[in-house]
Amino acid sequence: MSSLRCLGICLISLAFISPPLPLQAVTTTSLTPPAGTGSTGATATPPRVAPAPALPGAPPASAGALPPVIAPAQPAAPQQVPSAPPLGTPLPEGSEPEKSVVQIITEFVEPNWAAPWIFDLPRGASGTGFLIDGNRIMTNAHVVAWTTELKVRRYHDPQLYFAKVEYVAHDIDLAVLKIIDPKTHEEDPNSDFYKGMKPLDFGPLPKVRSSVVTYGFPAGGEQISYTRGVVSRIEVEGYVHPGNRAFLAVQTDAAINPGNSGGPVIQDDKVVGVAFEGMTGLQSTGYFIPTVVIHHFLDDIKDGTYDGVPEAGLRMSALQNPAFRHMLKLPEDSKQGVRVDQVLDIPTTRAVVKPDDVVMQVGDYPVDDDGTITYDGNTVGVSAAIDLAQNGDIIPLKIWRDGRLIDVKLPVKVYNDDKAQGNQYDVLPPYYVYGGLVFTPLSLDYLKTFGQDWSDAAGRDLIYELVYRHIEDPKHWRPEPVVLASILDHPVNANFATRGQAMVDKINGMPIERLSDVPKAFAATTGPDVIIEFLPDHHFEVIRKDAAEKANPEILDTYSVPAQSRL
Amino acid sequence: MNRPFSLPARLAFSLAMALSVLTPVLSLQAAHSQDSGPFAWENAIILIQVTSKEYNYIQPWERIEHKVYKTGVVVEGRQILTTADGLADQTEIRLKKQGDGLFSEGRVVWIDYQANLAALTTDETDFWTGLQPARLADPVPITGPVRILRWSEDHLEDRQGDIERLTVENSMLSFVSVPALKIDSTIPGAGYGEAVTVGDRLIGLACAQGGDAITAIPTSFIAPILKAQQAKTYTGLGYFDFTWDPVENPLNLDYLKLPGPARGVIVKETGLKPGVVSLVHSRDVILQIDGFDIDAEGNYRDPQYKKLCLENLSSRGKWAGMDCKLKLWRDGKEQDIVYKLPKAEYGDELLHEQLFDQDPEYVLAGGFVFVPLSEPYLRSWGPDWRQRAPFRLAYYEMDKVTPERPQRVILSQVLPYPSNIGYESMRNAVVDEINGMKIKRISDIPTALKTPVGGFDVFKFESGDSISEAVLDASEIDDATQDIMAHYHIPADHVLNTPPAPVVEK
Repeated sequence: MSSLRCLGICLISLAFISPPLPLQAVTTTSLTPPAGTGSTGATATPPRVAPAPALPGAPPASAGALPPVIAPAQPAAPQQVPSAPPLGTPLPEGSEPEKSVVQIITEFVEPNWAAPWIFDLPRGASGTGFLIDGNRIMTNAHVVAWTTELKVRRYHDPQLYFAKVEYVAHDIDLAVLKIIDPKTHEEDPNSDFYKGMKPLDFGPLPKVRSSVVTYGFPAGGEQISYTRGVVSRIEVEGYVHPGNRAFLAVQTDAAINPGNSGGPVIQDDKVVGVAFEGMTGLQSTGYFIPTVVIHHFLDDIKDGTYDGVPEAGLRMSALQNPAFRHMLKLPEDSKQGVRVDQVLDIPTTRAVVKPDDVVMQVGDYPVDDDGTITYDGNTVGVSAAIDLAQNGDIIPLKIWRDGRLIDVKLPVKVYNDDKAQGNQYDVLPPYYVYGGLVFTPLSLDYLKTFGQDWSDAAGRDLIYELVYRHIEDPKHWRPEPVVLASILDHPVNANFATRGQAMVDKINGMPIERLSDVPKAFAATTGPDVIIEFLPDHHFEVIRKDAAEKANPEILDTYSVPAQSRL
Repeated sequence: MNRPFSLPARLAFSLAMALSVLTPVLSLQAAHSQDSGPFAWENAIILIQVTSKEYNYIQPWERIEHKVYKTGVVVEGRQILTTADGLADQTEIRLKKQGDGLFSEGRVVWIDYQANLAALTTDETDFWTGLQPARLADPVPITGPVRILRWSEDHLEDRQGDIERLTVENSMLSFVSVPALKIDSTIPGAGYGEAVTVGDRLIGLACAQGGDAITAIPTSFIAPILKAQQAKTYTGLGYFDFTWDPVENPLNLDYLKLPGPARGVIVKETGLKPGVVSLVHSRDVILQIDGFDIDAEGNYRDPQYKKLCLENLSSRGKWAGMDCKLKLWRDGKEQDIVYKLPKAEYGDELLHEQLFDQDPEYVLAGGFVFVPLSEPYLRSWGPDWRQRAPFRLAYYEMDKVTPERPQRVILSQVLPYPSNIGYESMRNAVVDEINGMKIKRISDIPTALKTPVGGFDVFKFESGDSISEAVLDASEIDDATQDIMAHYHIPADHVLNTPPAPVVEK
């Protein structure tokens, strides 16, 4: 059976060399993929985890972004630490980056995606951050996701300062915070927090084999921790926090543990990255976000809004086979170019790029036939060149089409049609309750409520609808498939055989394309009954309209549902 | 479910038996009028040794020998009744009687995989000397003690069991619903045709085991098939080619305007038999089948066995092609229809559940290995293949056979060779077309490869997990295939069970 396992793994490695496109991310990287979407066994790449805060009694993170390090139950008074411990290669004289490194202590509350008005117990966690220009504290998005309170503790300072999120980029797992006055919740630029602190500067992409030092507050102690390692490799990697995105990341053997999340990775007194992920099952494998991604974030927010990293909408495949290259009439001596395998349904992309186009160059970066570019001396996936663009930018491409080289300009925009396929944060899940029937959009977060083995428990139809439908059957793809998530028991619905986990097709004959269609369909009902049809087998359930509407207030009251809907 | 009893398992089982206390065989004997005196089970129970080919569907040119031991029961007409499980792809059948140490060559008289039944015989006339045919109970008891019999190390093993119930469930080797006797017993390693008996009557053949629960095919199901086989009137099992929901929500029946108390079941999907227009429609309410009222849970009251699932009525003494009278509620009124039972065949499903008695099909072209997508292929991922196999492939189980897609063909793997560089890691890509020809079944591939496009063989795949296109140099593909066959020790570049489609000139 070992060969079978190999098959699955090879499929993954082949599949899509460049694009951090929705499908690629779902089938390859951070999310636990639907069972069997590729990896088939023990040789599968271990899951990544994002080191984030750890909490007393909290279970260890099993997957996802490095949890921000657990916050101690009672932050202990700082111990006197005269200087940073010896690290082999001494830092420049007078350099004390640790003075700009802070511990971030959070309280957070996550919603239940199957009963979206319910929230899990408040939990606490801690991570790391560091001061940058503009009185900003940089950290990971996963450190501050779903937070209800943020506190910051400086190096060797027992005082806790309150903070708020200024900008968060869940797609690239970065955020910046501001210190606030807890009374006004407004930014407090004159806070004592800033006294004696110097913002850290950013450095370049570090060289492979060069040394770096991580600074942070990982689990296992209360004071700042330093770990030294080398840059092991630089590649496009899956970002676990969004779950369906991949960007440039740097692998290091410096220990990056829960609590290191958001901490600076320092080289030559400058920040060369933000620690954010680890790999379970492998030793000494941590990842940090390089400054090229950080600068992308900081440039993006200059206009006061975070837009996100745009998508090219291209699914590209390596083009190494001589026969295929010959058929596409590529010059025989050329080793450049990747074939456009599919183009997402983005009109601006489809207007300029077509399947079977060969992308020879992206911006200033020639593309090799294996789908890589040379970026600052490193061989990385071609998507790294695309990811340099900001929302609304136009990327110049050199494309081989019909036997000749042409220049095209590809406008790129942020792509959100696949948000349900990734992890969602900070926006409460929408729902609609009618006669105790709870409707909510189909999403990865909803499927994960089925437990650790959600891909087995969820049912193949829901997974297909979420992951494959828009690629294989775009004509029948719904922008926001709706599921009957659960039923709040009441005599009005007691005879329903369908108790949840069922995808809604129609209500009284009206196709349900998105959650907002549900209340419209109920409101449009003129007869005494409402007929709800489900996919894939078109079975149906009937509920009395008058009885359901009469029961609504009682059901909402009984189950403490604060409102009939959150749309 | 158990798989056929392997030799090592059998030896281990035999050791366990040696330590157990055997019930004296003679205690089972009863006064029974037979040719050779009082009936004795030791004269009716046969040990069957089956040697068969076991295929590797990932490397479909490979096969190994597989040996199983089963039990059969002598019935009238010098036949040995047994289950079909384990007889597929057999190369040799040997029969042993009365624990006398000598095997006789056997052969299959008939086999029905859907019903999981088979009849064997031998041309060695001496074999039948001293044997006595067993009598089949019909109806069968649905409570009370039973004896489970089989040969073990030349001793007739006799184990006790208790009938728990008679139910209806999927046949061991098929999607059709059949009756099943559930028996509590601590007998180890059963499920290979062991005789389930009460006194001198055979009441079933064991076909599966889960813990201490034995499943047996009741003789009330077997006897009519046996009789029809001997009369050469048996046409195979039929089935209801629609799915249905029990009625839990009476408002659903109100919506369908069915008056009175809740009864009947609501039809969901129809037309499961490819190429047959179903007389049953979605949202029909099935009220009666052959005069039996159907309750809201989908059961009818059987004269012998009380409450049973309506699916049993598709095989209750009826075979494929025979008529069932259905009373339906449709469009606000009752309707009577005559429903002809379609024949249950593995080809009714897009992913064939079984591929018995045929070498696995494949086509090797330039290192590309093409195979039909089937359940045996997916079972290469193990018993929990629905969780472990590539999601997209397993999901084809939900699709139906259509005239456009009677079969799905996949590129299962690429055997590396210089001319297929760049594709080495392609796996499990679903083929859409080759050289512009839609691939409906694997036998289309040789035809498609005869008409390259501009000197290239162009392979297009379904979107999903795979890249959508691959190209090989058509002038190199035959030589590459020959080299690859030599390098990878592959005896033939294809195995097809149906002839290739004719070439259509473009």
